[in-house]
Amino acid sequence: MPLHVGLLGSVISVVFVLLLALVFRWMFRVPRQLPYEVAQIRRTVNQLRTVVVPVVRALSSERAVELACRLAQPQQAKIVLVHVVEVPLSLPLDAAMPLQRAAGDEAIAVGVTICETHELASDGVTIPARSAWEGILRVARERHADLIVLGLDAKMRRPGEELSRNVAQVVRRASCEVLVDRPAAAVMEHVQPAS
Amino acid sequence: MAQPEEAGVLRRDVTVWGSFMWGYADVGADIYTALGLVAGAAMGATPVAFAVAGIVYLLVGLAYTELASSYPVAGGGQYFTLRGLGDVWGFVCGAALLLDYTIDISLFAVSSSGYFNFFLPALGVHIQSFAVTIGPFVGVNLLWLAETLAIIGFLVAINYVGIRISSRINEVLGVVAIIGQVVIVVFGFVFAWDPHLVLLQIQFQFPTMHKFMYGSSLAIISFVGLESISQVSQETRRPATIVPRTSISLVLNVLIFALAFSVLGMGLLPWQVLGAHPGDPIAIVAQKIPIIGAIAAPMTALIGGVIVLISSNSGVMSASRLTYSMSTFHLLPEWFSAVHPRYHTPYRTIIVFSGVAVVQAILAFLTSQAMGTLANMYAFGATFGYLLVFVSLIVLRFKDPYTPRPYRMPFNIMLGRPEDGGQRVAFPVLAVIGFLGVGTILFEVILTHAIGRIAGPAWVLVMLLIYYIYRRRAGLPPWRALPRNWEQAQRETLRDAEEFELLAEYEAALADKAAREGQQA
Repeated sequence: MPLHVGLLGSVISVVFVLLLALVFRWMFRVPRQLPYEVAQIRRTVNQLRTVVVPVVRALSSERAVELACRLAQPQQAKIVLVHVVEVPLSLPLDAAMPLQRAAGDEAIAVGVTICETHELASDGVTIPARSAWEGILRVARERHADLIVLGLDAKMRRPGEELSRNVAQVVRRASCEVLVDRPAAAVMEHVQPAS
Repeated sequence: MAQPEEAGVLRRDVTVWGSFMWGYADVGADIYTALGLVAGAAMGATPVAFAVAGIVYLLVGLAYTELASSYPVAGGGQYFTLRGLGDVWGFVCGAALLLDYTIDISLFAVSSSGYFNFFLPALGVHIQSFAVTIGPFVGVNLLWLAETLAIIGFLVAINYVGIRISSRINEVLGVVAIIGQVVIVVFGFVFAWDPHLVLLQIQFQFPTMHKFMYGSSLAIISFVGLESISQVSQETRRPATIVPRTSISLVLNVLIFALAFSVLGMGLLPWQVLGAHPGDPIAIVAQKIPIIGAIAAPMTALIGGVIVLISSNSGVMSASRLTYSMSTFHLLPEWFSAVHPRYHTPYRTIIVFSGVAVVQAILAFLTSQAMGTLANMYAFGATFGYLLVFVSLIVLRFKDPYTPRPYRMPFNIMLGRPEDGGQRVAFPVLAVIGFLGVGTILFEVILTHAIGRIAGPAWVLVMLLIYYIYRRRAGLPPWRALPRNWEQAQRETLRDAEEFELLAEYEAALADKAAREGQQA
């Protein structure tokens, strides 16, 4: 008996097989599993409530504030701008250091302006400490910071060091997450390390 | 209480394919029995009846996908209802679904041995010669009964040993069954299908509304079994990621196969022929196909035997895991929750409820229509359980908006104002439509299924009595829900499932909730 091939039946068969193939293909393309640490990072970025940004009069600080604002903007997190007045051991901790405080106020004012551009609430804090990293960590602890954003200033590095001492100590000792912002190589070329 | 050395955890062994096949094993076999029954009732509108039931099934599937991926624990519909509506309704839902699972074991064991009996004449054995009269019971087929009991015993043994073995059996046999079905559908449509016959039957052989309702209520039988994926989600790797994919794939696959077989059947044969062969409609369809027609009947019998065997296996698995879950939540005695120290399987529930299936099979063989008797109750348990699942889904959206939902039923209305300190809730419109659809089919079942409308509610009432006695003896309130720390349970579930992203999301949602409550205080 000669075989008769039905056109509509053939079309239905092709559609049937294609549909099944598409369904199975979709089913087997399971997204990669996120390890716990990675999953935590993805979620914590979305859950930022308080971001601490140490500021000095430098472009690296402005970059750090800008980065912090962009991270904070979706969930309207608060930005805490910290300027630490480093008091030498030869002076009492409450010594008046007007020039340093004025420089700090100036740096904080620049940071507040950046925050206002992003319509974010910000706090400026100027505190004395024996070293900058101690002051940064103290403020982060008191304000229950979720993140500290540090701008990497090439001028503050010593030859042979990848990070400045303050950045290295904050990265090592902070209990919250720390983000270090290093500009791209092209930008770095304009800034020579301190000798 | 279970002894400490016995209380264990179910292992996460089931892969993507394994999860899919647990569902397919249960649902895939249904079309082998439903096509003839539906054709006998819905006549020329058989494909339409399947499509109508398929729409309801699609909604049930979406609801299960959301709940099973959000709460990936053993128990399925019973667990969702327990969380949404409390202990009593959780138990009622569990009892209804347990009826289905035990029938699943017995019905498909009977059916599987029936398919294998197709080969007996070639060995010179005639199955009818083993029919005897025992007292008032006429035509009790002892060989068929013995085969059925042997199949149930075999399935109990492999499930007792561990899911890795039984899951692999499902996976291998499922592949064989799917390939066989695809071959029949493709060859049938290309070489034998007549579209004019389909149109003629729809146009001139459309049933009355009453018959159509009966047919569509029977058609829902061909979609029962999606629950199995939820049941095995506690043993599935990364369930929140995998279960939505396997559930939706299963829903689409079964819909495609059911519509394909019904349209193909109506394009090969008049509905009267299909209706006259409720036992082997797919084999009758396959016989009409050129080229493979000569071997189609034995091949279909073999595939039918295989697929209903794995469906029966799925019933053993689901019944045991459901009762394991119920005993864990003090809805059944804790004795059931013991996990085998070596095989890590809920061995007591496997033995006890497979035993119930054995009793059902024996009683069914004492009637003149063994398969018909069992099938009559099948739809009641499923539709009743599904109804409660839809209610639970809606309630849980309000009671527990914090649990991350990797999949959410589409078409929601956002309620609540977060600026006033409240949590936004997505009200599921499709769940309401699904509730009405399943409610309509349950109404049809009660209206038209003579045995189901009596035996189904009777089973639930008897189980409710057992629940009441157990709770009283255990000093637990029978009609009140026990206090439970669902938040901690959800944390542990997500951590155990290694769904870390969802865990972090859940923790954040709970922290927001705590902050809001703190502000209000």
